[in-house]
Amino acid sequence: MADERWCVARALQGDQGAFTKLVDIYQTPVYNLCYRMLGSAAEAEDAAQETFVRIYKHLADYDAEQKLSSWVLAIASHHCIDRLRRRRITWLPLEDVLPLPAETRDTARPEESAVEHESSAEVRDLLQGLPADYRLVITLRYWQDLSYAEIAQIVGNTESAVKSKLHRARRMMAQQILSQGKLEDLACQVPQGKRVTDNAVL
Amino acid sequence: MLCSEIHEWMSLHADGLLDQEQAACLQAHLLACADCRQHWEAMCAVSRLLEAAPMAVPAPGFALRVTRRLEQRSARRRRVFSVLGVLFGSAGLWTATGVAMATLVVILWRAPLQILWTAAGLPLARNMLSMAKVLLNALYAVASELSRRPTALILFGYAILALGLALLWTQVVFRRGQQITN
Repeated sequence: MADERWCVARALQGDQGAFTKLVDIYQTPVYNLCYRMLGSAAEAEDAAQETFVRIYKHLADYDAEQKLSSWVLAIASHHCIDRLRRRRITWLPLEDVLPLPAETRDTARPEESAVEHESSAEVRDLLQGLPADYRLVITLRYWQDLSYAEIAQIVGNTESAVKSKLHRARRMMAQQILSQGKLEDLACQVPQGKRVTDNAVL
Repeated sequence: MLCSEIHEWMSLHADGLLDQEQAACLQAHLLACADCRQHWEAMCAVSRLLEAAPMAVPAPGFALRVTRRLEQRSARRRRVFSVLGVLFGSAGLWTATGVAMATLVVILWRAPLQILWTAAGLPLARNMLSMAKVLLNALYAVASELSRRPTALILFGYAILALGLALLWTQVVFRRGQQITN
């Protein structure tokens, strides 16, 4: 914590190395949040980089009374929500409306092909079936292991709103697997217990 | 208890936020209600799935890529500021020179300027006014001709539509080109 504050103070004085250290500390939580929110490795990479650019630009606005992790995650959350809003009105890329040449159709980018083979495609489908604000509270609850109060601070809601969103999100996901008849598959597939310690490069 | 209330408790129970009495009440309801039991099992399966999912981490070299992006942004900002500086600086300079020259001309050459205005300025303004009248009359004639002939009107509409589509397509191609360049 003191180390992080030192990094912030040094970065504000223009020490690029101190800011790089902050990036090292927060790259995984920020990238994970972006990936879970946006559902694509390439978009998550861009969104996570953009989040750190915003952090760098607004570092002077950081209130030292606030937890740095909450401030960083709040910036990442708002950026992802903004992107998802823009996505609804964004122009379609030309390749989405025009047929692609045969040789480019099957050659996906390396990070995308890695995602295609990841075992948590089920998780991604479940999350992408949720509205963005529900997806956000679920991500903060399950991957960042934050309390309702901390989530409320990050997303700018009340604790009861967070509680209600978590409840609705869980109900929607439960209904999703029940309607797809996947309950038995999941019961066999998923090991009981806490998160595995190894991280996945996505 | 109502099933809807039990559903809310399920989420709290998943986060370990029910007291012992409430948890016992929930368990009793689950034993008695098959629908809620199935929903609870589904919710538990979802929770286990999410808890087991690993943290996604970026590809190695992420911090370096962020640093590079920051440098690019900073260079771009510097470029924009220098271009704006040159533009505004020269615009300001030219305006100041123009104003100074105009003032000089007005002060020194008031009489020749008045002669020039009456000799050339007024007839020019009159000519421009009559040209505008001619243009408006021509436009009115075209519009009334179009309204008299439905075929011409349809063709005119088609031409406007084709022009709009062509502009739209140009914009699509232009944006795509920008995406590829970026």
